[in-house]
This record gives sequence, structure tokens and C-alpha cells, in this order.
Amino acid sequence: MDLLLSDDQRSIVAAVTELLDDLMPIEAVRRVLDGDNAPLDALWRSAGELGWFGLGLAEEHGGTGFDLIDEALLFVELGRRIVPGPFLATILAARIAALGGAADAAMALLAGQARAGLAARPDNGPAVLYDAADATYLVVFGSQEVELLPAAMASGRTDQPGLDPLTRRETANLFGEPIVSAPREEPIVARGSVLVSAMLTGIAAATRDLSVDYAKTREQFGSAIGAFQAIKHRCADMAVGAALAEAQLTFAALSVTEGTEDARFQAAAARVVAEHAALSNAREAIQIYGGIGVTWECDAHLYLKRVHALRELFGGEAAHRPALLDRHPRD
Amino acid sequence: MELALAPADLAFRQAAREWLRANYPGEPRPNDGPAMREFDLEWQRRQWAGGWAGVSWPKEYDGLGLPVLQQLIWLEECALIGAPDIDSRFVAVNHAGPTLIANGTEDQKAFHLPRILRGEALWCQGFSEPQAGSDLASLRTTGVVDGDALVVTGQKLWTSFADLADYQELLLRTDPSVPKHKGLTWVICDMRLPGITIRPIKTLDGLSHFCEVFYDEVRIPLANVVGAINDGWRVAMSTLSFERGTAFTHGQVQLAAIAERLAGYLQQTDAAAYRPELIERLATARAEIAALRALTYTNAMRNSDLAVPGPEGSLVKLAYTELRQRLMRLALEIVGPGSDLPGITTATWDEDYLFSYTETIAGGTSDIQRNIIGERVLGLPR
Repeated sequence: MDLLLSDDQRSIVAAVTELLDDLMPIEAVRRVLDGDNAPLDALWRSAGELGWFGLGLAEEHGGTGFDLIDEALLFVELGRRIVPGPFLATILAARIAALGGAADAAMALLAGQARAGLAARPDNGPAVLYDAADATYLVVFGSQEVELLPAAMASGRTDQPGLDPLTRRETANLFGEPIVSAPREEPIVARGSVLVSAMLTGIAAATRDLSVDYAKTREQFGSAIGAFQAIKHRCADMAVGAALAEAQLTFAALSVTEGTEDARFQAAAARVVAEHAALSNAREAIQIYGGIGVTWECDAHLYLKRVHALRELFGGEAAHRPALLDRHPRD
Repeated sequence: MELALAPADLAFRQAAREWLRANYPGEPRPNDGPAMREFDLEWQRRQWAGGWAGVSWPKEYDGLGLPVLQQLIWLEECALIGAPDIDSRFVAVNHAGPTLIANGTEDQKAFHLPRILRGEALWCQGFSEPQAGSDLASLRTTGVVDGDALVVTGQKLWTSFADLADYQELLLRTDPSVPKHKGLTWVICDMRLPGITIRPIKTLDGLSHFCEVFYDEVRIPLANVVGAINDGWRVAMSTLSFERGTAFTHGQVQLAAIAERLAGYLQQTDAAAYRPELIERLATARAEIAALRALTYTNAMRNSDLAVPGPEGSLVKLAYTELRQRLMRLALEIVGPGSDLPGITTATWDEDYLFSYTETIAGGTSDIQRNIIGERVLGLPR
């Protein structure tokens, strides 16, 4: 057992951080929010060149050859900065295409030349599309199967905005033959869910840090408000939530990679803990900022809204609950 | 990063498992009084005889000097098989022993350390007082040097198992003229000395593990001072450097077992049908228990190379004790009060629930833990 970051992993985090500092600081996120897609396009090109979309894919399949835990480290940073764009759908679509023998699609997705949106297709009624506006492909999660579909196979597309202004949400009817179709196996769904947990974990950490930084500088009654236990104790609880989410994320990612018997349980636990921490910390951040916290200019609401967008993916907490009620396999 | 245990750790776990299976005390543990003392010391003696005592103690003091991962494995295996938690042995094995190792004289170490590891002596902790709870350094029990002795007068409170212990780590005020942390002395007190009166305190669960201890001109030999006179605060704090974040491992395994059992029980009854929120709360609790284990392992590994572990242990303490209280409340709602459903511990479900109110207070209240996290982990102003 080794739970400390390796040198390779430190390098990955450092490289990701550096690129995001450069291309997607919060000012750039706000430019995207105002309708300017240039920052995202620039980030997407670099991400393709750096191999982000094949980070956890074996080299023989055209990937970079790292593991799910390394993808999770990337997605924590994406969550931490509420980076917009279909990173999750594209990394999953690239994997499905590469493993399913759709070489052209895989190559385009891995290189960052094509994007994929996420689609949740219920047994009845239209599918819900996430961030599919500029997508060439859709990765479709049905109740029984996972498919890679050309985005052109979506008809009757209708905007159905959710709370998050940075997550494009539509409904559509999906038709036609998929490029790749596979049974809805645990690994791909578990991988997707772990990456959602990673983004939520990043949000839990970011909102903790936003709050702590503000509590150190904002003064009332002659002292920094972080000196008051009413504020300090909220921050402490945020730290607990973020620490639990971060630790469990590591266990979940490693369990899925190593195929442990309790991988489903660990992934579900990560999802529930991260979702609770992210929602609670985003809420606390708004509260600690006070009046500023409810303004559009304060970033706290962007985190809160992203949490609500992420909570919908892969069935949300409710879909993960059954795994948490099973017997816990033990070696 | 890797989750799987290395071959050496797997072999260690297997060896621990086999020894525990053959040697753990399977009979119910008395939950109070001299019978409990004898039961716990007998378990310590058996570990010593079997070569398993002192997993965290250095080898030069006859401990096993295990790496922190193997300490965690040992503690989990003990809990999984149902061996007793450290409980009444905690102060001796995990607190007084390490303090003596770090600060004791050769005579003190030679006399006390073997008695602790071999299960011949129990210790208690004389720190808290009526006017010194969270604000420990404001304690008032005094020690006055008189010839070759310290003459001790005052009162200690919340001293777990004082009535069963042989020795006490006693923190005294020996110089009232200097600021409060500076005038303290850490001394070994023999609980049979004349002038000591012990009164057990009945707690809300009906048990009497806590005591109050009165000292009326008790003469303690100066040879029992650990460290120097007026250096007691440093001695008391040095103990923390031995704590590698393993303290709640046994309890966490118990929580996981309780939650799993409740899940099975819920599935057999119709409670879930008319109270679906029980399912939600239980699923959340199990997720949190899993995350707490992950955090414990992560912290322990990050700490294992540090001279003094970081303050992150407070995250685990706060999360664990609060979670235990939530889970026990949920358990009581699921099984019902006065349940005849056998529990995981030897206590009843009612007792376990009530005891959980102790845990968010003992060893630094949840509120003090939040102060520590706020100030020392997050860097917020005092």
C-alpha cells in the first residue's frame, strides 16, 4: 500500500496547475461565462497536445499510459477551477472509441480535434445532453448500455438550462446506429463516477480555500472574521469534509484500477462523500462571504451551481446508494 | 500509488490473524470494576507472552517497532476478530509509556516500561480539573518541594479508571508565579499513596469509568518527576509525537461492523418501507465510515516520516466522534430502545448510544478540535 503521490503524479499536478493558471484562471472562466469561447478553445488545444484525453488509457491504445488515479488528479484541478467544457465526456468517449476499435474517432478525440458531449438516456422519454454544443460525438449512457454516437444523431435538440450557466444542458431524441456499443459495464461507469467525484472534491477544496482566505482578510469588530469561532468552526467543518472526500477519492480510484472486490462500494462512497462536501462547502462559502456572497461578481455561486450540475451525472447519489447497503466484501 | 498490500504486509496480516484467532479473549468483557481490570491486564499479558505487545513501541524497549501501516493492520485485525479495544490500557500503553520513553530517567524506564508491556500495571491520567478542562494549562493542583518529595494538594477530575489504576501521570502546578504553561511539572503518582481519595463518578450511561481524585498533602518522591520541575507542559506535549493517527482505528472498524449489521437488519425488516430516510442515513454513514478509514490511512502514511505529526489528527478525531454519535443515534432508531438484538460491543445498543456522548468531549471536545483545525491546519487567526 502506498498512498503518497509519486514523483510522476506530482509532475502531472504541477503541469496541470501551470497550464490552468495560464489559460483558465477565474477571469477566463468568466469570459466563457460571457459567451467568449476563446479561452476554452485554447485550453482544449493544449490539453490535446499534452495527452489529457488519453491520460489513463494504455499506450497501446494511443493513450498516455497512466491510471484512473492520475485522471482523478487532473479532474480535481478542473473542479477546483470550475473549468467549463466537456472534459469528462471526451475522456470517456476517447476510451470507449479506442477500446471499441473506432480508430478514427479515438484519434480525433485523443488529439483534442473532436469533442464529445455526455448524454443520459432514460428508458422512456428524451435524452439529456450535457455540454454537447460543440460536440462531434455523444457518449450515451442508457440503462443497459454505453454507446458512442455521432452528435448529428440527436434530433429535436432543445435547451433545458439547469442552474449552472457554464454547463450547457439540452434534451434531444437520439437515433441511428452507434459507432461503438458496449454493455453498460461497471468499469466505464465507475470511472466516470470517480471523475465526477474528483471534480466535486476539487470544488470542496476550492470553496474551503475561498472561505479561509476571505476569513483571514475580511475585518469586522476590529479583527479578521476568521478569529471568531462562529466562522472558524464553519471553516474547520469544511476542512473535514474536503479531507474525507480527498482521501476516499484516492481509495475509490485505486480500487477501480486494481479491480478490488469492493470497488463499487468504494466508488459509491467517494461519490456520496464528495457530493455532500462540495454542496455543503459551496453553501458555507456563500454564507461566510456574507452580502458579497450572494452577488454575481463573487465566484462562490459558480461553484454552488457546478455542484448542482455534477450531481445529476450517473444517476446522482440515489444511484450509488444500493452499493452502500450491500455486504462489504472483505479479503 | 497503490492500494494492495505488499507481500510482507500481507504475510504480517496473516500472521496477526492466525495468532489472534488462537489467542484473543472471546468471552464477554466485564464492562466495569476489578473484573474488567483483570480481563484487560490478562489480555495484555497474553499479547506479551505471544510476542505481540507494544506494536508502536521502539524495539530497544521491547516493543515491536512496527511501521505505521502494520500498526494499522494489527489494530484492524484485533477489532475485526472482536478483541477488546485498548480502553483501560490506553494511558499506560499509548500515553505514559511513550512519555517515559521520551523523557524518563533510566530508573523510571527500567521500572515502569516492562510492567506496562507485560500487563502488570494500569495507569490513569491526572490532567483535567474542575477549573481546567479545555483550558488544561490553567490547572491548580499544587506540588510543593519539601526535602526529597513533592507535596501535592488539590483535585483532579474525569480521571478514567483512577479506581483501578496502579499509577497516574499527574500534571501539577509547581510554580504559581510564572505564566501558566511554564510552572507545571509531570510526575509519576503511585495511586496507593496515603492522602489520595478516589470517588467514582456515575455517568449518563450508568457506568463509573470516570473518577474524581483528591490529594491531601500527598508526598511523592522527587525521583518520580519526569523531565525537570516546571518542564511539565513540554513533557505532556511530547507524547503527541508518538501519536501517528492510529488512535481511533479500533473504533472505526467497530463502526463499519455496526453499520453493516444495521444494513442487513434493515433489509430483513419492513422499517425501510415506511421510513426510507433510514436507508439514506445509513448509506451516508457507511460512505463516511469508508472515507474516515481512507483518511486515517492517508494521514498515518503522511505522518510516518515526520518527527512530530501534523495537526491533521484533529480532522480524524472530530470526524470519528461526531460520526459515531450520528451512527449510534441511527442504530437506536433502527433497532429500537431496549433492543434484544445483540450488538457488536459487549454493551447494549442503549449503552453504546449513550457512551457516544462522552466521545465528542473526552480528549479535547469537538469544539476544541475545530479551533485546532481552524488555527493550525487552516492558519486562521487566534
